[in-house]
Amino acid sequence: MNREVFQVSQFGRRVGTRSEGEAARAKLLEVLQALPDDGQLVVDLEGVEVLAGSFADELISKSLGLLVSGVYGDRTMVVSSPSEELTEGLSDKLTQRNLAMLCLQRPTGRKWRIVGQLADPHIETLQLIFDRGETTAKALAEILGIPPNACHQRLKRLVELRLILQDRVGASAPKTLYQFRPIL
Amino acid sequence: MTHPLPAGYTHRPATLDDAERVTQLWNDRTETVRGERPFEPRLIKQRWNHPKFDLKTDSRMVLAPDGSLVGYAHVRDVKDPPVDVFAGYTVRPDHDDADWLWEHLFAWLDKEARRVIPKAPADARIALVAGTESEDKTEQERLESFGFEHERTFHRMKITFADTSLSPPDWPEGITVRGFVRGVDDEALVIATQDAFRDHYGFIEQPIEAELAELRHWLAEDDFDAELWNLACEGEEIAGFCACLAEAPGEPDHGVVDVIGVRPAWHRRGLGRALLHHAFAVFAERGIRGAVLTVDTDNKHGAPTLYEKVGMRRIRSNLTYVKELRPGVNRVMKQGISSRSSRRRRRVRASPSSLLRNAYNPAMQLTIAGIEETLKAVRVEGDTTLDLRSVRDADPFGLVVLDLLMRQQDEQGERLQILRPVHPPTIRWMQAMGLFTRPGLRAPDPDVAEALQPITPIEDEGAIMDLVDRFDARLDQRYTLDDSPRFTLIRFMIELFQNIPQHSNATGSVADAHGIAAMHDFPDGIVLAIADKGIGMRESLSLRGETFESDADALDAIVHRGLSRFVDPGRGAELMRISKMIRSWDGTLAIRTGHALFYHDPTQGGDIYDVAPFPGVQIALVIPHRVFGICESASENGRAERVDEPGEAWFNGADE
Repeated sequence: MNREVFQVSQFGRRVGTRSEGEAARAKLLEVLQALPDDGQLVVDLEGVEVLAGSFADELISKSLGLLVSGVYGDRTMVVSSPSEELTEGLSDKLTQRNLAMLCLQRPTGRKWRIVGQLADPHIETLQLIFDRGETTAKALAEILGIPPNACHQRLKRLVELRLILQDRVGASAPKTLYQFRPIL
Repeated sequence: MTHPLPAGYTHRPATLDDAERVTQLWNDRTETVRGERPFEPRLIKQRWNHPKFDLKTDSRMVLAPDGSLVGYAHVRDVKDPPVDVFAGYTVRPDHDDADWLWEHLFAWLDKEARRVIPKAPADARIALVAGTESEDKTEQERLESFGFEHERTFHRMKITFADTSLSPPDWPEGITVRGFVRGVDDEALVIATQDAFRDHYGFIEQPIEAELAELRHWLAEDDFDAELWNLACEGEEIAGFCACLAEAPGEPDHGVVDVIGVRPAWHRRGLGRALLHHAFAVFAERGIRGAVLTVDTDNKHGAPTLYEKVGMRRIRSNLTYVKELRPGVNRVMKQGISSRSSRRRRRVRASPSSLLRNAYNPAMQLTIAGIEETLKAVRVEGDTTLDLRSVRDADPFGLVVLDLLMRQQDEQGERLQILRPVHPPTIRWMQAMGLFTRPGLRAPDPDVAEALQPITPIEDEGAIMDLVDRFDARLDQRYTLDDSPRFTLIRFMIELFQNIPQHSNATGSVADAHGIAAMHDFPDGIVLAIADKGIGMRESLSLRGETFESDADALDAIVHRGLSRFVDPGRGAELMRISKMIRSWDGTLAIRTGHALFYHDPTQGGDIYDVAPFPGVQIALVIPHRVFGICESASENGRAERVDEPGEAWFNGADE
C-alpha cells in the first residue's frame, strides 16, 4: 500500500482558526490527489500541541467528507495522534458530521482507535475484521451471531466511511460476492 | 402570630440588668451540650449595646411561673441594607421538649425579623440567619422544623503554643507591620476589610459610614486592645490586617484571632501566614498560652488549610441555618459568590444610584452592568457622564463593556466624561487593564498592578493565533501549568476569538467585529473575558433562516443545542462544549447577548436570565486555579503541581 504522511505541524504547534484550516486543506487535498488510487494518507499530529476543532474540521473533517463522497476513489485517510486529548476537537467535529476515522498511535503503527461517531456494534465488527484480515460477510455474521442482513448493514457503513475496503471476488447470481479487509 | 404561652408563663423584653441571667441561661445550655460555661455577661452586653440594637423591641425573655428564665431570643437588624437579620435564641435544657416554647420564640423571631422588609430594597431577598453548635441536635431539629435550612459550617480552631514550635513571621517583600491607630486608620481599615471579605460568605456591601459606625462600636468596647490590632502595609496601603482579643470566652489563657484578612492584590504571597505568626508571637510575649479562631469550612481561599499548617486544630463546629423570609435578589455573598434565591428568570434593573452593581455576573462580585441605562439617565447638558466614583471593584468582563462603550462614544463623536473611582485598588486595576491609557483618561498614579492580559482588541482574524499565544504567554509567565487544561484553554480561546469575525456580524468581515478580550488572575481563578459589539446571537441565528422570539431562546439554542448561524453541520456547538467543560471544572461561565444572560456556576447551576440589553455578545469564563494544577502553596512561588495523565485505550491492529 502506498502511504503518505501529512505533517500537520508544518502549520504550527498550535492550530488554529477556520481560515488557516481551510488553507491547509488545499495542501492536503493536493497530496491526497497525488496518491495512487489505493493510497493512504496519514494525517500526522506529532509535534502539534493544540488542535482546535475549527482547524480540524476544515482540514480533516471536510477532507474526509470529500473522500467518503467518492471523489478520491479508493484512497483512504487515517489520522495519527500521540494522545487522545489532541484529537478531542477533531472527534467532536467528525461526530457533528456523522463521520468517523481511524486514529493511529503512531504513523507507522497498527494500534488504532476511532475518532468521531461510530456505534459500538460497528466498532465490534471493525475490530473483528482487523483481527481476521480478509473475510466475508457470511463469516462475520456467524461469528457475531447476527443475521446476514444486519451484518451487511454494518459492513456497508464501514465501507462508506473508508474504514474497511471491499473487494469483489465473484458473482453468483443474483448476488455479488465481496471480501472485506482492513485498511491497515 | 406569636404562639401563646401556657398559664403562668410570661414574656417581656430584656433589660441590661438581665445580662447575668441571660448569660446563665446560655451557659446552662452550652454546658449540657459540650460541658462548658464559656459566656460572660460582658459579651452579651456588647451585643445589646450595639447602636442599632434596641433591647425593648429586639429581645424577648420567657419566664416560668416562678420567675425563672426558660427562654430567650433576640433579632439583630444591624446591616445596611437589612437583608440578613440575625437571630439569637436559647432554651433552658429542661424545657427542650416544650414545643410551645420553641414555637413561641421562633414565631416571635420570624415576626420581628419581618420588620426590616419595608426598610429593605424592594427587590432584595430577606433572610433570617441563626446559628447552633454541631452537637446541639435539639436546636438543629427545631430550626429545621421551623423552616430553616443548614447553609454553612464554621470550625472553631485552636492552637496551644506549648504543643508546637512557633515560627517567626516571614513577611513578604515590601510588607511592613505596624499597629492600628484608632481614629487615624479607621476608614482605611474599613476599606481594606471590605476588599478582603467581598467574596466571603455572608458579606454584605454596606456604605462606608455604616461600616465605620460598626467598627467604632467595637473599638469603644473594653476588650479592644490596640496592641493586638496589626496592619500589614505596603507603603501606605493596608495589604492585610489582624485584629485579636486577649481572652477567648471560657478560655482566659487563650487569645482570639478575631478578624484576619488579606486583600486580593496581596493573595498567595504568604501574608496571611505571616500575620498569624505575628499574632501568635504577640500573644506569647504576653504570656498568653494559645489562640482560637473561627473559620468558614468552605472558605474559597483555603483558610482552614492555612490554619492547620500553622498548627491549629478544630475543636468544634458551629452551623449556620437560614430561613428565607422573602424571595428576591440576594445581596449577600453565598458560597463565595453572590447567589440568587430563585432559579426563575428575572429582570435586573440598573439605576444611577446603583451604578456598576452586580447584575449579570455575580461571580466577579461587582461588574459594569446596566451602564447603558445609566448613561441615558445621567446625561447632563449633552455630555455623557459616567460616574464611577462609587465603584469598589470591576472585573475584566465589566471593563470590556466599558471599553466597548468608550469606543462607541468615540466613534459617535461624543465626549464621554468619566468620574474615576476613588477606591485606590480599583484605580490601579483599571489602569492595569488599560482603561485609563487613552488620551485624557490617564490616571495620575503610575503604580500599575499587572493584569494577566489587558484589554486587547481582536481586529484581525489572521492574528488570532498570535493573540492566543500572547494570552497564553502571560499565563505561563505567572504559573507553571498542567499541559492538559492549558491546551484546552488555548482551544477555547481560538474558538471564542474567531467567533467574533465568524459570528458577530452580518458580513463575516472582521472589520465589523470590534471584539476585545482580557484576562486576569482573580481569587476565584483565571478569568477570561471576551466581548464584541456585533449583531448579537438572535440576529446572527436569523441569518440561517430561523426566527427566535427572544434573545433568551436564541441563547438557549446556541448553548444547549449547539446551533450556529451556519447550516454546515460541522459549524457551531463550541459554546455548548465550552459550557460542558467549564461545568466539569466547577468553573463559572457567563454569556450575555441582547436581553439574555446565560449564567452557570458550581453552586447555582445554570440558567438564562433577563438582563439589561447589550448589543453583541459578552462571554466570561472563570476557571478555578486547581484546574491548572495551581495549588495555594504552589501559587505562592509560581510553581504548579502536575497530575499524571490517565491511560488511553487502543485497539491492536492485525499485525501487532
